[in-house]
Amino acid sequence: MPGIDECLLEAMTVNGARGAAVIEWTTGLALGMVGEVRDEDPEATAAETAELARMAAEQRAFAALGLGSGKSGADADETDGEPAVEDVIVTTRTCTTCCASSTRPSTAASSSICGSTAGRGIWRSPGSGCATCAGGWR
Amino acid sequence: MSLPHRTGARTGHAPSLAGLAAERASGALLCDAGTVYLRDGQVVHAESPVAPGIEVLLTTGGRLTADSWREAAGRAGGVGRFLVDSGRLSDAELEICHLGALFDAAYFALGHGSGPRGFQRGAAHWLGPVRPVGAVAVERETRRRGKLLAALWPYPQVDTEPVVLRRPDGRAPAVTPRQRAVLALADGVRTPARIARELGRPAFHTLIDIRRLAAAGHVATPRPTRPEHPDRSGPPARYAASAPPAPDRGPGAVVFTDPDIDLLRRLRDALEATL
Repeated sequence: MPGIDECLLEAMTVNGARGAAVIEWTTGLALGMVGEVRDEDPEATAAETAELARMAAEQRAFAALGLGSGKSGADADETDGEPAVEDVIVTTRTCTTCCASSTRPSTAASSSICGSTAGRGIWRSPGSGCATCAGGWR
Repeated sequence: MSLPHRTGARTGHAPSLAGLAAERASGALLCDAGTVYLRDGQVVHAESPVAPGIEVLLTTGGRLTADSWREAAGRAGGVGRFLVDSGRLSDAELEICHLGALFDAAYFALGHGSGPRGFQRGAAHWLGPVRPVGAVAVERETRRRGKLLAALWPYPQVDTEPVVLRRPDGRAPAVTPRQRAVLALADGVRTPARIARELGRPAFHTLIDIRRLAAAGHVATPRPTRPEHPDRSGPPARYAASAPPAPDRGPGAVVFTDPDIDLLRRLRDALEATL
């Protein structure tokens, strides 16, 4: 079962990836980074990406974009206080970032939000997670 | 190094994390509010009474059962290694949880109000090496976390005082699911550290929630017990003689000084009298 570094290397195989990071989205702590970093400031990049991921994970405005179901707005009630999103993958033009919640790194019921700021929107893939790093968490 | 050093430590020179890292030391750096474990100059783990340990994060957090943890505890060769080798955790899960616990405890052990007191050479942590981190990175992250909290709500007293609910006004930001779990345990007795432990979350994560909740007015901001500037790294009032009073309201009230209720009453009475 791969560790953080293996996940990062796998993320770097994504077509066009120039950098990858595992970031704790609650705090903005970079747990691992490879490749290029935007503006050569890893700390700021991690913090900003985490903020984006936090918004995606916690704000209803983002959750409402969830695919196919009216359920996305009711996350809080369904999951008894725990966020439905455990792993978040955010891709930007220059880096691919995998954000992880460290309190519950992975559960069988976890789902992922995958987003691209390039305009492809945000979608979720319940259960299976995102192809880039699903293998890392399970 | 800009970490606060204890003045007047009993040993002539208090050991510093940077110094120990430079000499590639192995052992336990004992601080006022926790312990930082080094191996060949790199930080391999940290513990603090304030921060829930990795066992709490894994069991209370719901990833491992208590039985599963007990079976792993005390294994020779490192508990962490056993958890992975026996298939209970993946490498990435262990690393993420370990780093979360490490930086969480380091924030309290190395942060404001806690300084190094001694070094126990050769001491190793029972978890075993998982993912060592450079001492510089740990210190930098500790400072960043202090600034992050100050930026969210520059009243550090909410970190340690019992969490008291208050009714926010209508403009307060909505509460997120994670914050709702924190609020559910806020009974006016539990401190943020205790709430974190009961939720199985890192203490610093809970401090972030508490500061956001206090800023939004969902949680009361108590008045500081000591006459001190509001936050260690917060730019406001660093040079002011007195700290801004803790607001009892939401963010809108921050800029105002302490409202003198008696004065306001007298003013109201006087205004009414002239009408």
